Amino acid sequence: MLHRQMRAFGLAPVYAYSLGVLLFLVFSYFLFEKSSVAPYVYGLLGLFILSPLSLKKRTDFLRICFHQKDYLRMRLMENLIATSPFIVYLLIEMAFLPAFLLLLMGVSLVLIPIPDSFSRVIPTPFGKQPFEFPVGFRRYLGLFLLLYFVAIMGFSVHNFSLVIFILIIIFAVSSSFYSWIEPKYYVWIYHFREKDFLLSKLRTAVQYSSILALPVLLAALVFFPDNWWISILAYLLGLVFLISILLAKYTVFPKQPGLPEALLLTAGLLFPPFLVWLIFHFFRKAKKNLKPLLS
Amino acid sequence: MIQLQKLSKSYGPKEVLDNINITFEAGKIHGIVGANGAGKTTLFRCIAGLENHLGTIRADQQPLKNHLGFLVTNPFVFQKITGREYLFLHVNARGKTIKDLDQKNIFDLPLDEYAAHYSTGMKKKLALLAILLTPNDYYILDEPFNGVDIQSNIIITAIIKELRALGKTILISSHIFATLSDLCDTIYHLKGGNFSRIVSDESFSSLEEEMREVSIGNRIEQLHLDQL
Repeated sequence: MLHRQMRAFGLAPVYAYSLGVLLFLVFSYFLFEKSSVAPYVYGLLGLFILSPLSLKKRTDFLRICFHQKDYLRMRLMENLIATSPFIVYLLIEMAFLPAFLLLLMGVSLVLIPIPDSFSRVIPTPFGKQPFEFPVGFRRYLGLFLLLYFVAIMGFSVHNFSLVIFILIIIFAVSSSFYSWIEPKYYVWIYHFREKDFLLSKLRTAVQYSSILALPVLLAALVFFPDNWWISILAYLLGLVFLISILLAKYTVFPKQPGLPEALLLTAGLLFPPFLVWLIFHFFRKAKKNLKPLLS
Repeated sequence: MIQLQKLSKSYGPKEVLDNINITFEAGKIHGIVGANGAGKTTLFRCIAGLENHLGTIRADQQPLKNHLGFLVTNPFVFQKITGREYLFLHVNARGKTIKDLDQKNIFDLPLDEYAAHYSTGMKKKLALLAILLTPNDYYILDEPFNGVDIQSNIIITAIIKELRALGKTILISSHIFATLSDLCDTIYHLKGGNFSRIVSDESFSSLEEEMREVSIGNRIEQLHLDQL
């Protein structure tokens, strides 16, 4: 299934894996270079990747399909493969405790599945404008709490880079709310013209992502007043990137954005002024693409 | 009124709808019957504008989609979204606001729970409530009674009759013939990509009899249940 998704994205698996390894190494290098709490952030990221494999619905299905012995062997292999890059890098960085904890967690989750969803409804300030933010906020509540916690640690050790990194990650997570493609019906129900539909989606995205980012941004402005312009710039860049992701989704809706969109977004990340042109480009394309469904 | 002219729809070489010409009048309930895969849902999706098709679809209110309440067969509900938020999503999409939502919750749905945890029937009722909370002139109800309990069945029947009295154009499909024969003014039998029979209420029983004969035939004998 993973290979099929890679091909659908427009990348042969061999290139996708190579790119994945490269991005992983670059990300790891910068994370450990810039942050003192990197081993713990890193360990938790490993856990974050591990959790979908251990969801109860999935493990129940595997239990039905395989004998108990094969099931346990397979689940252990899965978890070890998923966590091994993180464990190896943690060991290279001499972070033995996080590496051990992650390994322990990988083994434990073979035996203890994670419930698919908790019936208790998580309150959200985003309920008036469904669906991306209420769904995303509830799904990643744990991650947001972790990010705020790391930001507080950044303030306490006076690490401005870490705070800005968290601010950017908040926007990256908010952008991921738009990675899922809703059924056509949920665009069709809108009474708006294409332009108004896109503007209403953008308004919600800007408003709600700002609610998530503002605590960190405001604290950064208070605690690091000399670097106010970097904080504001990071916030604006986050917004511009979020807007680009949202528009990219609707340029090819109901299909999943593929390699061309990903390349343009990567170019935008490497050279941010390009994002401004990209926003207009994606907006025009999305408008055209949505016309048959909304007119 | 909804008028279909030369409506055709194919998926690759498979022609699902073949040159349909029909007018669905306002203030009437139009029932669509047909075997699984006959094209009922495709027909509804074409009328709604969710599928590309050949031919034209006209309505006295334009664009049709902005005046259409479409209840799909299996309403999709997002994970981690409450019933109340699901309704907000629909009403916002129409640029409206809801007043007295709890009072309008006629199916007594637990609106503050996750809609994904609802039963099949509850999801159907939630989706129906969503389209009833927005102003529409046309209604397409694809299997509205699917999985719904008896009490709600009675309420839905009464709602559909009320919509007819208000002059709305209603298209409805059901696998339960009795439901349609109780409700509809006309029933259309979709077969081979077109309407093979169109009957008004005095001929419903003959259509049901014909469908029973065609459907059952000697299939039960083929099972040899008596020899098991």
